[in-house]
This record gives sequence, C-alpha cells and structure tokens, in this order.
Amino acid sequence: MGKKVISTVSLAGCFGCHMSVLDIDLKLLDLVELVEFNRSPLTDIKTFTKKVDIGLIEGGCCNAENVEVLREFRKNCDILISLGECAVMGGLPALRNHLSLEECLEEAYCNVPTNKGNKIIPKHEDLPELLDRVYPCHEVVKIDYFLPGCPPSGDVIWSALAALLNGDEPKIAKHLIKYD
Amino acid sequence: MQQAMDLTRYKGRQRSELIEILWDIQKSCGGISKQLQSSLAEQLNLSTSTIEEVVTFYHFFSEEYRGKNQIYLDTSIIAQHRGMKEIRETFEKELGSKIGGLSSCGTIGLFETACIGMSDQSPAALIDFVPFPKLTPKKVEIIVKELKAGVSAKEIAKKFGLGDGANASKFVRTPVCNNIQKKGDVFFTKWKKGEAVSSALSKKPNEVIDMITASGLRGRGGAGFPTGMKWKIASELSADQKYIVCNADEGEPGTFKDRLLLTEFAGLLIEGMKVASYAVGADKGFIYLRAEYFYLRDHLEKQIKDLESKGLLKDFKLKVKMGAGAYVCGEESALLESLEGKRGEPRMKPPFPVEVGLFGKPTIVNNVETFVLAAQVMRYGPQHLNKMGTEKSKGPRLLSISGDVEKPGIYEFPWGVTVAEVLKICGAKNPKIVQVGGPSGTCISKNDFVRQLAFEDLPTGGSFMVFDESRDLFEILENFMQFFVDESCGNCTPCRAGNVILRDLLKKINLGKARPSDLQKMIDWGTLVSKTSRCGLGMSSPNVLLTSFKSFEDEFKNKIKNSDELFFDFDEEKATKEYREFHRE
Amino acid sequence: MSKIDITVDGVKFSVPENINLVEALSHQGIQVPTLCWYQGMDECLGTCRVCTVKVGGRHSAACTMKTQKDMTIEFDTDELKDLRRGVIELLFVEGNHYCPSCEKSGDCLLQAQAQDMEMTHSRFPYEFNNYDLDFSGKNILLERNRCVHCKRCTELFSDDEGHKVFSFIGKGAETRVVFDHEREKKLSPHKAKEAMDLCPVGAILVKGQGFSKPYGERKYEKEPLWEKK
Repeated sequence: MGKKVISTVSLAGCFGCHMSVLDIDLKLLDLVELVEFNRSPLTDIKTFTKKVDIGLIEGGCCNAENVEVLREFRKNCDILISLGECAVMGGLPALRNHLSLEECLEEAYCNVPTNKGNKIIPKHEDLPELLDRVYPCHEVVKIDYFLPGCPPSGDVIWSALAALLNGDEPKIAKHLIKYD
Repeated sequence: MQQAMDLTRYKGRQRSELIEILWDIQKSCGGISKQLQSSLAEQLNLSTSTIEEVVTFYHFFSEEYRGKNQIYLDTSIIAQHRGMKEIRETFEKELGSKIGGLSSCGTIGLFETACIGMSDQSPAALIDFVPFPKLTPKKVEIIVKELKAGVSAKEIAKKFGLGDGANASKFVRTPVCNNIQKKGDVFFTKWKKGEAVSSALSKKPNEVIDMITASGLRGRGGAGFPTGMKWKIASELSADQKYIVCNADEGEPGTFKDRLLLTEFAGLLIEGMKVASYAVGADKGFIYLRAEYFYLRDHLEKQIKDLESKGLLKDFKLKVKMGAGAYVCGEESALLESLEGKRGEPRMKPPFPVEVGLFGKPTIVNNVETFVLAAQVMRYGPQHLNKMGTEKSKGPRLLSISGDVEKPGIYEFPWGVTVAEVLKICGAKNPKIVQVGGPSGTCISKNDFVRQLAFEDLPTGGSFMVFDESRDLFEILENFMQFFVDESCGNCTPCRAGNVILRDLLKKINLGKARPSDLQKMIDWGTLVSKTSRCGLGMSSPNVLLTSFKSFEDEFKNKIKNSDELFFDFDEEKATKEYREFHRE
Repeated sequence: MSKIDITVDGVKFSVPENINLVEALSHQGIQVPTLCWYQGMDECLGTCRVCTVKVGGRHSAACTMKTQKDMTIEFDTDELKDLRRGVIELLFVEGNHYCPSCEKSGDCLLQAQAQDMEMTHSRFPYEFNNYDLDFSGKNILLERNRCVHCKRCTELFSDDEGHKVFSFIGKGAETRVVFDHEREKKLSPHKAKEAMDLCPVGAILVKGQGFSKPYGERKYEKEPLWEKK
C-alpha cells in the first residue's frame, strides 16, 4: 500500500496551526513513514501534483484568493479538515465581521498607532479582493472534520490523522478539546 | 414631536397597573421617551430599567415618537394575498414616508403589525386602534387626506359605513363586519340575560363543575385541557384569593372568531366567567383583551356594567385589561405576567396557573370561546355539547375561515367535521394548501383533506386558512416563520436563536441555494427547537415546516437546484462587491 | 425529608421528594449539564434549556422539575445528548464566542459544557451578530455579543441595598441585557466581582479584572466538568 498523501494550507490564519502540526514532535517521524506531503508550505510545493487523501485547512476565507484555494483543495482532497478556530468559525479575523471594509482598511493602514503619516490604502490587481466578511470554510465547501483550538494541540492533530490513516473516524479525547 | 406630560397623577399607583399607565402615556404623547420613563419610574418608585423592560417588550409601545396618528398595517399572509402591498405603497406615497417612519408632515406614523384579526375582511389596518377593513387604494387616499385635516380615525371610519350587529352600536361604531357564515345551534341561540348565571347559582358549585365535566368541554385556546378538570382543581385549592381570567388575546394569525364572540356574545362570555367564579370560589376576574381589539373595550365594559346593574355579577368584580402587542401573551402564563404589569414572558410549568397563577393565586385561565360554551352548558345542560363531536372532542368548534374561499368568515361546525366538508361549505376553489390552526398548526395538502378537525386528529384553535393553486407555498412559509421570529419572547435559547436559523434556512431553500442535506437539516433543527423550547410558541413554531415538508415534499425537492454536496453556493461576486466599491470611490 | 423512588435510564434511585431534579441526580453521581442553573440555586430560571431530559416521556428542562414519586427519566440517550449539544451549538452561533480572545476563557461555563459534550464546531451557520458593547459603566463592562440570555444577572443579582441592577430590554432575538447606571456606579468592587462571577460567560466583566487570574489556573482548566463524573 502506498503512502497516504497530505496537503496543508493557511488561508486567513496566522500559521499557528501549522506550528502546531510541527508540535507533533517525535511522532512526526512516524508520520513521515506513513504519509507524504504534497501541496503545503511545509514542502513548498505550490500546486497539487497528485490526488490527495487528506487536506488540512488553516484559517477562514477573508479574500477571493482564499475562496479559490479552498475550492482547489476540495477538488483535490478526499477528506478536508478545518484546522483551528479560524477555519472552523472565522476566528479572530472574523472580529472584523461587524465592521465595514472601509473602517477596517483605514484602521489597518492609516489610523494604526505605528503609522507615521501614511494615508494610502494599497490597491493592485495582484492583491486579492477582500470579502465583505470572513467566512468559515464550511460555508464555502463541505468540510469533513473539524479540529477546534487556537491552535489545536499537536496531540489533537496527531490523533485525528492517526485515526484517519487507520481508516477510523477521528474522535478527539475530551481533555484535548479546547477553543482557545 | 413627542408631547410632554405631567406624570404626577400616577404617583403611588401599583406596578400591576403599569401597562395601563404606559398606554395612557403612549396614546397621549405618541411614545414613551427615556425621559418619560425615568419620571414615571420616580412616581411609581420603580427603577427606570423596570419600565424600560416593559416598554421595549410590547410592540405597540415605543420609545421614539410614533406620531399623533398611528397606522398599523396587517402583515399577515392573508393580507399580503389580498393586496396589502398596493395598500402599503399608497399609504407611503400619500404620507410621503416609509414603513417605520413619520409622514412628511411629521404627525402620522406608518408601521406594520402581525395579524389584527380581520383576515375575513382583508386587507385591513388599525388607525389609532380603529380597525379599517377592506382597504382599497382609493380609501387610503381619503383616510390620509382626512387625517391630515385633523379628522379622527373614528369619524373617518364612520364615513365608510358601519358594520352589522353590535359593530354599529354606540360603544363600538366601526366598519367591521361579523361575517357569520354558518350558524350552528350551540353558539347561535338567543341570549336570555342571566339565564346561565341563575342556572349555576341554583346548583352547588361542585354540581356546576360536574356539568362542565359531563359536557366534555375542552379548552378552546388550542391545547384542549379539559375545562371541568381545571375548574375542579381550582375549586379544591384553599386560598384567600382566586382569579378568573379570560384569554381574549386572540393572536394566532388567521383567527378572528373571538372578535365575533366579544362583539355579539359578550354578555354570555361574562356570564360564563361568573359561572366559573361561582364554581371555584373566586371573586375577581379579568378579561385580557389584545390591543388590536381596543375598539371593543368600551363595549365590553358596558356589558359588564349592564350585568352588574342587574345584580348578576354579585360578589364578582370583573375588569377589562389591555395587552400591548405580543403574540406570546396568548400563552396563559405569559398572559398572567402581562396582567401583573410585566414583560409577557411565559413562566415555568409546573406549577400551572390553576395552582399558582395571577399574583401567585389559583387562577382559571380560559379562552373566550370556552367561557361562552360553559355558559351554554349551564343553560342547556351537558348534552347540548356532548351529543355532538367525536369521542375526545365534544361539542362545536367555531372556525375563522380565510384565504381563497368564496365566503370567508365565521362558521360553527361540530368537532369531527372533515377538512373536505369545510372546504365545500366555505366555497374553496382549487384549494392546494390548508393551514389548520394557524402558523403554529398543521399545513396539509389534498391528501389530508379527508382528515377530521378534532383534538385527536387535526387540532385547531380556530384558524383555518385556505390557499389555492395560484399561491406560492414558500411565500406563505416565510411569512409564518418571520412571524415567529418577531414574536419569540427571547427567554429561551431554542426559540430565540432557533427560529431565526430556521427562517434563514427556509429562505436559503426558497432561493434555490440549498442542497438535499439542507432539507434534512430543516427537519432535524425544527425538531430540536420543538423539543427543547420552553413554551408552546417554540414547541409549535417548527410545526409549519415539519408538516408542510410532509405534505409538499416534492415542492421542497423542486427547490433544490444543485445536489453537489461538496461545493456550496458561495456568491463571490456579492462578497467582493463592497471591496470593489470602496476602491472605486 | 421523605425519600421516593425515581428511575433514570432504567436504573432505580432513592431520592428526597420534591427537590430539584438536577440536584437530586447530581447526588446520585449523574451530572446533568446546565448553564443557567447552578448548584444551590433556590429557584430555577429555565432559560437555557441545556439540561433537557425526558420526564415521563416528555421533553423537559430538568432544572424546572421537582422529584416526584415514580418519576421516569431518560437522560443518557443519543437523542437527548444530541439535543443538549444542539442547544449549546445554538448559543455558539447566536453570539460571538471568540474563545481565543475572551477574558473569561477557562472560567466560562458555556465553553466548559461544549468541551464536555465534545463539540468541535456548531452545526448551525454562524450569525456574526453585532450587539453594542456598553463601556459606560464605572465598574462593569458589558460584552453583549457573549450574552447567553440566561437571566442570572437580571433575576439573581442585586446591589447592597437589595435593588435589581441588570435587566433585559427588547424582545426575541433583539433581547439584550442592560444595567441601571446609577446603581452600577455605586457597586462595591466586591459586588461587581460577584456579578462577573455570576455570569456563566464573558458578558459581564469588571474593568481591569478580566485577566487577573492567569490562564492555566482557571476554574474549568483545573476542574474540568467531566472530572465530576
């Protein structure tokens, strides 16, 4: 039996969940025995080169590119997992959901205390268009499993992956579930 | 501008009178501003937030100024089908304002409200609480012109011609029509003043209760609790005070039969209440009248006075108390809270009101129709009721029939009548959907027209709405779910949060954005709301979705345009619109 | 107090008569999840519905029931577990519960119950409502986006003079908690802290006190709910 293939991506996230993947620690060695990583910041592979078994999504959708990438993951992955609070429910980026984009951008680029007089809000065709709010991933595509936490611990990620690689349903032990 | 008002006149008044006092202020000032609330709090020795809690709960009270004249348009689905859109647009045009705002002249407010009990003469509106049935754009033009000229709503109403029966009497004087379409021999007998009361007084209280029990009478509000049993429990409790309360908060959209009873059978109703007071040993009573029926208050008070002066209400003090716009107050314990001058949030049961009711005392709460029937049992004996009906549903049932029928109005049928028979008699052409018992009842299709109206089959509180082949099921369902969202009291989680979610899911289905799995979600989530809610409102609000899905599964399935369960309809164009517009500026 | 028999999931227990059902079950080692109710509360609020069980075949909130002879209760069934979790999930979408940025994280009963029910996400669409915060108090800050409308503060909290401080205004989904500004101003720091502790979530906070207890040492971190079971 060939190795299972995993892909990961960080959308509107902080890469904290990816750090948590690395927090699997020594078991990472077991993991690489069992799986190979395809498209992922961990491999620096930018596009899918084969069909993937498990996709891990960090972060929700805050711009058009996030939506596109998420759809691509759905197309290429058999199982899709929302990894961490931002993917699950928007997380901290979704704190902007009750503000207008104008307020958000002005705060970020002009009014922020560290700003020294900048009045320009960047605009370029290469910059992805922002969405009106941050969307949890499962509002855009079907998500098969959810791993909450900010970030989910290495143990959570390991237990979920181990279960899936075994062909079981991932079930997180109570003491590992958290939302912060 | 909101008027100032001297509130010292309310000094020392009881908290239980709060709603009456707030009505005074709302009517004379056009609103109850924060400032008025705090001066009132001072006079009543209550905290300002206690007043604010109540003001913001009832939708006919407002903190902002709603005008010298206040117009409330009926938003029920029946009104929509009868051309309310055109009526609304005409009002907006003539007033130079939009719903929720004041006219360009600043004195006339235009608002919407749930069913006002006029579905048989729709579209209708309340103007300064005078009902204006059968509106047309032409009538609207006249109304606005007259209001602007300072003519009172009551005067304007007269110009459209007064209704029949007591509607034309000195104490009512409105254009409302009774619309009695089918008389039966239980309700529609000639009233002989005092007959029911003297029959009761000639017996022992327990014999009165036995008669009610023998008649098989069950509460007509919808739940169908045996009336005799309720009275018996109350009679056996010893308390220094007991109350008799009539639930005249007829709020279920599509019902208006209590309107008729309150108009034409008020004397009998009052006698029924007196009978109950004698049977259980209560000396005080209240008729809790929905604000939409404000126009019947003077009439009811006149009838009470009449019976009092004839000595028929000896040892029984009866008062009319007003609601202020809240469907949930039709739930008996919420009604009691409201009578105590509080927010109309349902209480926990147990204890039931019959044990711990108004001001903590044993209280009988019965529907208008129940008291009227109790009075008839006293006059004609238990067989008068129990000779008809089914095994578990005895006697007659008044139906309020509205919608796509030739003869909308009020019908007396024996329980057990089939939907098909009713449809035939009221002249329904091509009926497609029948909503039995209002939005909280059952939505049925042709397949179920053979079923019987009865507690054991299709229970109903009297609302019977018929929709023909030309109607859109989903427009009806959305109207109903919006109604529940607006009327949830907010006390418990499932009803407060769940109805919003169910409404949004229904919209998604209607927009064709749902997937097959969403239909299952609708069922599952509706079941959850129904099983976990605190009172009848939340327990029954999902009924309409659950039963309509059963009856019209194909229509739901036809709404599914895409069965892709991996990629959902995410409207990127719409989601990025704000960004593009921001940069365009 | 006389004892009576009740049956829970087919097992007979002897419990005192006419006491709160949640309390009675808790003495038997059966922990019914609650949010608005807590041990020692005289009267129940019956608002959150998280303690839904079946009594005599009917769905009821356990905190609103009193023990009665021969009561039959269903508690630990798949259907009921799902309903109770569903109610918790409703609360997670109705408000904005950003645990990572919440001052009450670890001390929050909603979070603890969700964790105990193994909730990974809410089955319902997140609503991202926006209720105004109220910073205007002297002691207290109201974060209404986290309010679960349990009514603990409006029904059970009073100032030193016995006056009500919090109330609910509005109706339905628009219902929101407010406080009486005059009375709030006069609250002692001790009383204000009491209000914050009474709130099962992070809706009532004492200004400057949100982080006085470090993460890791908080109530449900030290004593997770399942440890009682």
